Amino acid sequence: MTRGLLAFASRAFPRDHRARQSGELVDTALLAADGSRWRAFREALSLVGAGLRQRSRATEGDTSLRDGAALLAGMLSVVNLAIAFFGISLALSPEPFDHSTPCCNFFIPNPNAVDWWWIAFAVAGAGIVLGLALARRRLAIGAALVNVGLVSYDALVLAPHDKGHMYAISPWGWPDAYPIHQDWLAPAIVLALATAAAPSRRRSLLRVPLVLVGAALLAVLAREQWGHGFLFLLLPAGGLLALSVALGWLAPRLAVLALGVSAALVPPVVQVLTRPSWEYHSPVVTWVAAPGLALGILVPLAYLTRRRLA
Amino acid sequence: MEIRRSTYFVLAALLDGPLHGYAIIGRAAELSGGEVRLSTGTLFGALDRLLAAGLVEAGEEEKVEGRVRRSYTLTQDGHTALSTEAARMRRAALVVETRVAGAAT
Repeated sequence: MTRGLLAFASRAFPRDHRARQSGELVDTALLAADGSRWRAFREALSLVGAGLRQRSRATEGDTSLRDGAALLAGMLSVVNLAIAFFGISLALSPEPFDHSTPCCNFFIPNPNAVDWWWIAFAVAGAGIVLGLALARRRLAIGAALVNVGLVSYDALVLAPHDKGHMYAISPWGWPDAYPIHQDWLAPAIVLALATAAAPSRRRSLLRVPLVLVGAALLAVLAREQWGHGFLFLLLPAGGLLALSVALGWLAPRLAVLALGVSAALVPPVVQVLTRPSWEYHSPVVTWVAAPGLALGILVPLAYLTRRRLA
Repeated sequence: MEIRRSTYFVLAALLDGPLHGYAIIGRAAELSGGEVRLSTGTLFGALDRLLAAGLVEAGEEEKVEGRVRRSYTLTQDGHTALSTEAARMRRAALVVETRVAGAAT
């Protein structure tokens, strides 16, 4: 059993590592454990830690901070497109929303209406994805800027007058929905910055249909959430953030990713924290998300500063 | 270049001749008076860095009592790096020791 545990832990090392291939790692760890289960457990942990460091050095050695921007742009562009698909899908399958009921009279726009804004938003979102995948830098940056323009118009001009398109995410006005009001403005800006910073690298064309399917799947899942929209993404985003903060010192592109994701999530968290005391305050936001985001910004910044000084 | 404490004792363990992984762990603990207890992960992390830097050479693997062993040998560059580090630490210790002795008299 001890040998099995150590053999499993040694798999953290790259497959072509001489000591993993020969079994030298396992044999040395077995001798070091000296028959003690507790020591074997410690040896297994040390093998996993050292193996992960080896792997990250092997895979991250040639990557740059701009690769982190590419990763960030790729992830945000998929969610951006998923939000656009969500809006467009309302034309095909409207939400059961009664515009005439008294509770909803204050909602001036029909959340199921798909107008020029949703279409332009979807085109811009598709433009970013295509530009990034086909290494068409001008297309990607142009589409990202148009995307920022559209989201800014919606967030700053329409949303303050209850005409924002993001109301479609949660027409019932539930407080724990994402993204609503001006929530998507910061991610759109981060997406544009990351797209501009990402290196121009042509990806496999197979990725484009995969991204489209992924975005469509996210949109379907968000539709299933009944008024919570893409809030379900916050849990994996939190996990990703924790992983990026933990491994950012080994993999600088993860530090960039953590910084970008944190910056994108700061505005809605600040908005929740600064709500009047009589409004709903999610304890998760107050006690988990806010400190998590603070760490998500400060720790990667420290990594990147240290890397720059080194 | 400053050498980490664990790496310093890995190099020091190889001064007397080639050793395999587990023997390096034992010798490093012995030389450090039990202060440096290398785990297998730390040892192979250090060995990989030293191999890449050319301070250590890996021998052919052999099977002894059903266990795989590979001996590691200190190279000339390894000797030089270890001596340089020892001299650096001696100078650093001297700075403190002379002042402590001066203050005591």
